Amino acid sequence: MRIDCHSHCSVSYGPWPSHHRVVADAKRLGMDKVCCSHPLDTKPTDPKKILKANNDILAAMRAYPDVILGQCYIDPGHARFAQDEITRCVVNGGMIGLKFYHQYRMNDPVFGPVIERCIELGVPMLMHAGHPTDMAELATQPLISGADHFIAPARLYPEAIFIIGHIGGGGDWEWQIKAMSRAPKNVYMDTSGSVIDAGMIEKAVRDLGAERLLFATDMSTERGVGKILDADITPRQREMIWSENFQRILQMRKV
Amino acid sequence: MIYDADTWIGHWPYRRLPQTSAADLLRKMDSAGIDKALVGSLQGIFYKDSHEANRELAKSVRRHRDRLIPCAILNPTYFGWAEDLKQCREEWSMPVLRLIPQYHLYKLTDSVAEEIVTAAHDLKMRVAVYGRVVDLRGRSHLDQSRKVPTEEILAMFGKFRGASFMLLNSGAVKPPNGAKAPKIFQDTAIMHGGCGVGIENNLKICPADRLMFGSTMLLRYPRPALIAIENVKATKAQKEKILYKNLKRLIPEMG
Repeated sequence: MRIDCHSHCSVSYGPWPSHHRVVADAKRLGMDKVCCSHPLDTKPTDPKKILKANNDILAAMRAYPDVILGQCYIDPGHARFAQDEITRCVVNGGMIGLKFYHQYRMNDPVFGPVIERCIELGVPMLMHAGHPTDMAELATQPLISGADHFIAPARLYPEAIFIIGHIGGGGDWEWQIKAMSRAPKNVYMDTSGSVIDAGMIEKAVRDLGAERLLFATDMSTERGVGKILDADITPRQREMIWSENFQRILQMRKV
Repeated sequence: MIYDADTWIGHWPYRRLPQTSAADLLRKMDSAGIDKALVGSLQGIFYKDSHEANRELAKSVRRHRDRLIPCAILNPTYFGWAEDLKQCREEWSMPVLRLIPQYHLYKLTDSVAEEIVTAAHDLKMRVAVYGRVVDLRGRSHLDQSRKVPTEEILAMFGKFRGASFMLLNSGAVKPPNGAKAPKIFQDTAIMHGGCGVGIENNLKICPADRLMFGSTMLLRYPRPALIAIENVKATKAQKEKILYKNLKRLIPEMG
């Protein structure tokens, strides 16, 4: 089984590929399930647009209930609204976890109430992450979270489940691996992103352990699948990454 | 049959590569089903005198010339390039000159670029230009390479009416019109995304006659480029052109 734990789609709103396309690609590349969210790339964010974005994912889940697993996008800056969205989309709507973008870094205390809620519900939090070293790239997302920004909250909330987004999202992935190796075991990393540098997956397995890696594409489908197939790791490690680790996380849900 | 227009052996100074030798490349080609490849030496980018790397490369592949066809790298701002180029072609039978203006810090519109391209053409060599070598979003602080604008590349190509050029590791470039316009052969190394859609989009602006398969191994994993070709919506004839026929026609030494 292959579960893509980080992707995006659109039904009728936003810039992402259509849900039909995402499901068709998943089928062609042997992916059984795809986790989709609809984050907003602005700061500040508009709650009306967040509502619309999450409605779009709920519609995708209804269209493909056996394939699309929804992730609820929230901006923790809208404290009350974020809690209401979690209730609406996760508790009542069946989404499997949360998705954050780069409005705040992961170690910002603004996340506190949201993390507490995720602990209560037993759901994972996926954060758009990276360590861009190119100044022009960094300027486009100055508050992007590096893996180092996960260490303090993961220690403070050992029951919470954090996922560092896209090891190959465009940045210094060796920094990400090294920083995550200092984080407690409740921090996972997904393998998505367009960067397919040789040795990336092998190094992550060596330094973090295959049990902390989660297969994903973030819409870079050929690259997401290809890097796992190419990596010089054992079949057992590959199985853990394809789906076993994420299935274990899904089983922790209390809703 | 698969011919790869874009492979490397050697070391990258800013991170450890898991495989570096000609034997490693052959093993990777075998596992990926790639028959023959144009190969360059990464050291050629970084040595002050790139020609030392050409010498190393010639030695490394001398027993594998049936599958590995070496490409010269020279810096036209460095003393003695004309004699070095001649040695690459006449003594070591290198049919391609790779230009790396990103790291050798000249402009393709400078007169030195025009001079070395003219000399290469006089020696019946093809000239390859890199759109980029690596993804700079995660560059080392020591990596002071510059981004080479597409306009600069096209301006240089435009000086050689009717000539054929290779454009590697680049986003698609719309080929210039006209009977005497340069013929640009582009590789698919970074034309991924959307399960073959990346190549399909490029086919809308660049005919299949001008695309070549490229993987960029041993810098990157090769499988994503193969998955993209497998899934692209194209005719069998188009795929064959991309996979080997175009490169075979362009570089007769590929056999």
